[in-house]
Amino acid sequence: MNVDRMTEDELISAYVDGTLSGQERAAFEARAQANAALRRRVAATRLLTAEARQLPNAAVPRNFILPRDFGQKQPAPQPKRSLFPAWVFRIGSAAAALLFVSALAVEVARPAAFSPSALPYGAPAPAPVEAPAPAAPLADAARNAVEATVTLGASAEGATTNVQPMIATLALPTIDMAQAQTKAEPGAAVLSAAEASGAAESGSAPETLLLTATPAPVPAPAATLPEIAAGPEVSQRSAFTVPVVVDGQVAATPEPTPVTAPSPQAQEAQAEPLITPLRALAVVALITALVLGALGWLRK
Amino acid sequence: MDEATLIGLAQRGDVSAFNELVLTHQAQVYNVAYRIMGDPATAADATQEAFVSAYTHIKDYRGGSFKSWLLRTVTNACYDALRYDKRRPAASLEGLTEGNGDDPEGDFNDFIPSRDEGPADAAERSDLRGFIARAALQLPPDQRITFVLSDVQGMNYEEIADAMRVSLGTVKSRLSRARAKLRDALLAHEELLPDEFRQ
Repeated sequence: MNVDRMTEDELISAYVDGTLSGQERAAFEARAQANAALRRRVAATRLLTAEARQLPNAAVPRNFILPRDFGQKQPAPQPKRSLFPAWVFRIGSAAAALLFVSALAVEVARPAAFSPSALPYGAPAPAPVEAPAPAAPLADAARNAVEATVTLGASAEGATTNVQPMIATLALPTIDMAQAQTKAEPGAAVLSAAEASGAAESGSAPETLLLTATPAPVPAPAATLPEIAAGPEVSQRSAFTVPVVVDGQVAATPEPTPVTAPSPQAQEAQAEPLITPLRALAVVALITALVLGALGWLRK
Repeated sequence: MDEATLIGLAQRGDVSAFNELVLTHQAQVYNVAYRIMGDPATAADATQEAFVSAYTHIKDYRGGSFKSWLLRTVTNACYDALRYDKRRPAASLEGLTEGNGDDPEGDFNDFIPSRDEGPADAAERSDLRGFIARAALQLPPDQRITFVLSDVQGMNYEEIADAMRVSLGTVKSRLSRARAKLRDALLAHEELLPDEFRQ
């Protein structure tokens, strides 16, 4: 024991406990002989340790034995493990998201995927809506129908306002044929005059003209449609009741007919429905990714 | 059945074997807790917690003194109790001679006098021991536990170091400081000391 580094209290404690070596003990006793205060502290420490050892044991208030079933207690029920842990949902969500992105990339990469002509105008037409006119006039009108073909030209004016003729046709209650032909001169709209006149000779002048969305476009004469191929086309397939007036008379009640003769590109675009399998796959993948992601987040 | 066999059975889940160990050691374990806590009820709680913890962790026992292992468990339980015990405000050692109504050392008044001391001497010894017991409760927990294990329970330095998981030097240092504080408190109350101490 390194006496030099010990405090006096540590020396006293060690001396009382008898843990000092012979030499250390002799040196300490020599110091104590010359120091009454140190002797007093040593004596008090001896008294303290002796009396502390004589402190009586307190009576045990009770037995501290454990109940016999202490070690046999059933463990707390473990939460039921799910058949599909959270990581399954997370991986599934990631895979669905990847599928969605892939489908989206393929869709965008297709040249005609998002062209204007492929958008809702190419959707399947609803069933024709018959006008609430009497049955007889409608039958007569059907027999004497004039297939009115309104062709939108590809001229600059026509291209920029290709929807306007359709809107005008649908909005106006009557169409003045002469006026229509006048408008057709710049390529805006052409009405098949032969069929219109045939309808006029039938003598039945229906009050209304039924235009229905006939999927098959009526080929327009090349001479009258020199610029069709170059411009966008819009086909109106909905049924409307529009009286057609030719030279001041109601010319005919044409068969349901497209308002616009589509170009080959438009026909191709129109053939594609709004909901393609690829788009449906992308939507389903997106929904799946969101649902699985939410489930995975809830289970963590 | 010897202690090693009982320990082996307890490690295999035999509660009855463990309870025999409890009955063997509960007096010492409770008294250590009582000297550290100074309150019978708190000491009983710490003792029960110590035995429950001992049974729960008895598989961790790797030999050595089982008594030291149990005392380590109970001192840990006392540490936890002291850490959260707000009922006992700090008091100086100087005011320990003035007893009060809820004196935790009341049982020290029932000391049996030794043959060679008369009733007056026995009363003086009782007062002195009561003072020491109360004074020990004012020590810091580390020093208190060391003092209780060494001077009250009679354990040697190695056993204390094993029970408290500290070094021998730490045990000696804590014990010397605890003794010095209690000694100075005793010397400050000469009326409790034998005649040779009175100046």
